[in-house]
Formats: sequence, structure tokens, C-alpha cells
Amino acid sequence: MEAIRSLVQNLIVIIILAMLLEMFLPAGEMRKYVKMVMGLLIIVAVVQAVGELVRWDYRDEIPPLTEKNNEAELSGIMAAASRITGNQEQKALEQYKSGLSKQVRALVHLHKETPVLEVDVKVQSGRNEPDYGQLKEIILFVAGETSSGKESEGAVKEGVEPVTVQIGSTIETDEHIENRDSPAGAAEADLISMVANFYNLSTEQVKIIYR
Amino acid sequence: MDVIQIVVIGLIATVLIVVVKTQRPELALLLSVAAGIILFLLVLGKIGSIIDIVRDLADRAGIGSIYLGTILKIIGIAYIAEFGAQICRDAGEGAVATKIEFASKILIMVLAVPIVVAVLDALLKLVP
Repeated sequence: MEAIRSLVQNLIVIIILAMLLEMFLPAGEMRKYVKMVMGLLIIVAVVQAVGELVRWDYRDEIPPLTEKNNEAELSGIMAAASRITGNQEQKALEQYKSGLSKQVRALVHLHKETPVLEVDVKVQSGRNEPDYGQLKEIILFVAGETSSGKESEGAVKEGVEPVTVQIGSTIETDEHIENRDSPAGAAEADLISMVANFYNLSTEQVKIIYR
Repeated sequence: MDVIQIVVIGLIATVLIVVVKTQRPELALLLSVAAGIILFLLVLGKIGSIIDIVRDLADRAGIGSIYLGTILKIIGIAYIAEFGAQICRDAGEGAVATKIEFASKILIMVLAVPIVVAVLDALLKLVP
């Protein structure tokens, strides 16, 4: 509607302009030549104004015949854009994880009693998940073993088969033994608690693995 | 009153030309040219305001200034050629007057070429 209104306005102004210019024309032999050129100018103005309206109609109402080619090109561009976006997000996630593990390492170095060798951080990497990018788990790789050979809650042995000691009818494994009263167990629990509290995680989400 | 001034100048020039023409026809021609120049200079200032209005209208209609400039040039060429040709006819040189008109027609056509190309472009763009 706006385009039609603009077209009518333009046509009115063009007609008035044509009348005004016609008044300037000389009366003699040259009149018809000047009038012809002026007519051409009016045709240009009118055709341009109508052309804009026609192009507006095509875009809004009728899909053009060459739409398929455009769609194919567009889908290729969109696929490339999606791939680039995925790669960029993956890189950003890796960078975020790396930065976070460095931060955790700096934090656990404050805890002198437990030497931490490496830190692994797991974050939510599903793009469609609502908690995308959120911290899921922190795994601390600790050197050696505790002096008592026992672990606190969340501590797991790596590369060592669980040892089963059978005395009578009682079965015990190293992993399930908790001894919070021993100094080493208390230190690990303290470390887990510190990291968990710092990142607002539950203590189950922070693990210690011995190497 | 500008119009009275213009009419008086025109009448005086006419009387002088009629009087002089019998004795000195060459002076009559010079008088005619001088009267034409004086009359043109009198209205020259007012032509500027009219052209400004035309330019404003063309802007509103979305007509490019290059097209309007071409039209104004063509009108100017037509007027100058017409004046020249009339003076030549008054002097009894109809052949020269015809040549002036021919030359001005060629110049007008040369100036019209960009407008003709624009018409063709606009019409071809309409075809899907």
C-alpha cells in the first residue's frame, strides 16, 4: 500500500513538472525536438516508478522462477555457516575448559598437603542442553598415595585392580574404606570440599585419582 | 512593474528599427540584437528562481539531477538557436537560419542520447 501511495505521489509530481517544463519550450521549429526529449524523460521517470512497484510485488507475492538456484546457494552458505559456528563453539569450549583447569590447578596449589599433578574438567558440551557450558565434574590427578593407603570419599585408584581381602565372611575393598579420621583422608576431603565449594558443586562432582 | 518596462523597451526598439531600417539596414539589425540582449538580461534573474522550483520538483519525483540538467541544457540550446535563426531571417539570410536550426537539432539529439539509453534500460529491467 505504501508503495502504491509513493507511486501515485511520484506520478503527480512528474506530471506537474512536465507541464511546467512545457511552458518553457520555445515556440518555433525547435519546440517538437525539445518536447520529444522531455517526453523521454517523463517515460524514464514513470517507468522507474512503476518498476519499483513491480519489483516489490514480485518479491512479496510471487516467488521468482530462479528461486531454486538461490535456495541451493543459500543452503550451501547456511551449511558452511553452521559448520564454522560449530567449530568456533568447539574451540571456545576447549579454551574455556583449558582456562578452567588452570584455574583449578592454581586453586589446589594452595592446598599444600595434597600434590595435584593434573586437573581434568568436564563441562556440558551439548549445544541444545539448557545447561550448555556448565561445569559438570572436576577430576584431580594426585601424585603417589596416601600414607595410610586409604581414600576419602570420591577418591578412586587408577590402574589398580580392586583388592579383595577375605577374612572369614567379611569382604573389604580399598575403595569403599573410608577413614576420615586419618590425616591424609581428611586432607583429601578438605581438598574436595574446597574445590566443590569454590565452584558451587556437590562433593560427588569432584574426584581424586591417584597416579 | 517589470512588464511595463519590458514592453516599453520593446516598443522603443521596434520604432527605432523601423525608422533606421530604410536608411541603414545593418544598424537596424544591430539594434534588434541589442534589444533582444537587454530584454533577456532583464528576466535573467527571475529564470533562476523558476529553475530552483523545477529542481525541487524533480527531486521530489525522484528524477536524477543529470536528467534535469540535460533537459535544461536542451531548452537553452533551443532558445539560443531560435533567437539566432530569427535574427538571421530578419536579416534576410534564411539559409544561415536553417543551418543554425540544423546544428541545434544535432546538439539536442546528442544531449538526448543518455536519456534514450535510460529509457531502454528502464524498459528492459521491467522484463522478467
